[in-house]
Amino acid sequence: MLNSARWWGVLIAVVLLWGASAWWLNTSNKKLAAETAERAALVHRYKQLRARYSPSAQKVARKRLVEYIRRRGAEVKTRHEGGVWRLEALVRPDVAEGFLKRLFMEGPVLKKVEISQKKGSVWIVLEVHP
Amino acid sequence: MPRLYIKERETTVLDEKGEGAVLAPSLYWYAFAPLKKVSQRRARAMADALLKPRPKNYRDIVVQKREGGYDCFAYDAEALRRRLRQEGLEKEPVWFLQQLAHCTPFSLTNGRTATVLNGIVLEVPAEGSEKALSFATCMLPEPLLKQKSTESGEVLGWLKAATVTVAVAALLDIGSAWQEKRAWQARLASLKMDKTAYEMRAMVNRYEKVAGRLQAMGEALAKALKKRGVKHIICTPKGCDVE
Repeated sequence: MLNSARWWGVLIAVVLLWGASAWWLNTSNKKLAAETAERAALVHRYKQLRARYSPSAQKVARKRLVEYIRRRGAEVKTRHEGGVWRLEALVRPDVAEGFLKRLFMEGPVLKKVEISQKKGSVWIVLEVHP
Repeated sequence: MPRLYIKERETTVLDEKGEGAVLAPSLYWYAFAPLKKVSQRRARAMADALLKPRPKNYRDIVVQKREGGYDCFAYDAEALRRRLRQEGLEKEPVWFLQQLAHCTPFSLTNGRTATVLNGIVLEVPAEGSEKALSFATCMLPEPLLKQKSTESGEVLGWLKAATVTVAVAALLDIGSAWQEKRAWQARLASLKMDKTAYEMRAMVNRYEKVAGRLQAMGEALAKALKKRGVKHIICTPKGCDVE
């Protein structure tokens, strides 16, 4: 059977153990919370950028761009040469305006854009990373 | 239960109507320590030194404050407990004979009396008409065993309760913190993708550079298109040439 001095010892040991464990768990939880928040932000940003700039997303963007111009009655020529994907189209000025707005919002990554005015039409040449 | 006078191998009845027991001088050693008020620990250390020549089995020491110093007793607690159990006195108050010094001389048994010699209470042969020990008129100090079982028992009870309460509170607190830790770990594990954090960071940096270049090119093109009389524009990530 323990006497009172030993019970005091047990009580103090329990309090110390409690304090030490609580401090360790608290510190560890704070670290984990910070790490989780940082990782969540990174994953979110990564997913956001990948949806726009990954090779498969670029392919889809190129196709949509071609379809956009074709739906508006213009002719589009596409070809792939020397590691560069090339698009040539002769469009009406109003179509060209919408097309250029859309181009930088959700289009592929461009290497070169060439625009010329030709007898009431706009001649657009794009060079895109494959 | 009568009040008993307990010797090493013999027990006699002091009072038919009383309760508890008085221990004979053969069951303990006594010394008086003329100390001013000191801590119990120090008083016990002093008692241990004063009672040095005692038998080895008299390991347990009790000190009691009284006027001018401390009464120091050494005894064999285990043997005493056994002896009291034999008499059925486990929970009754027990005094050392020395504690009744101010009541002496008094009759202990037929032919024996308790008296004080050089400050120590001893059994001596009865000489004349010694009075019977009356616990009703003799002012009794705190009994040896009763004192322990009340004061420190109460403190012990509080201590036990406090320890158990603190331990339960600590367990609940640590348990909830541990659950929180597990929840964070699970959340972190659920964020894992096919790539490591290092690879993801590298990809994000690369994509952001591309996005920056594209944005700069878009802004340069928009600026070039605002100019009047433009016939031909060539834009690259480095800038636009306007004709």
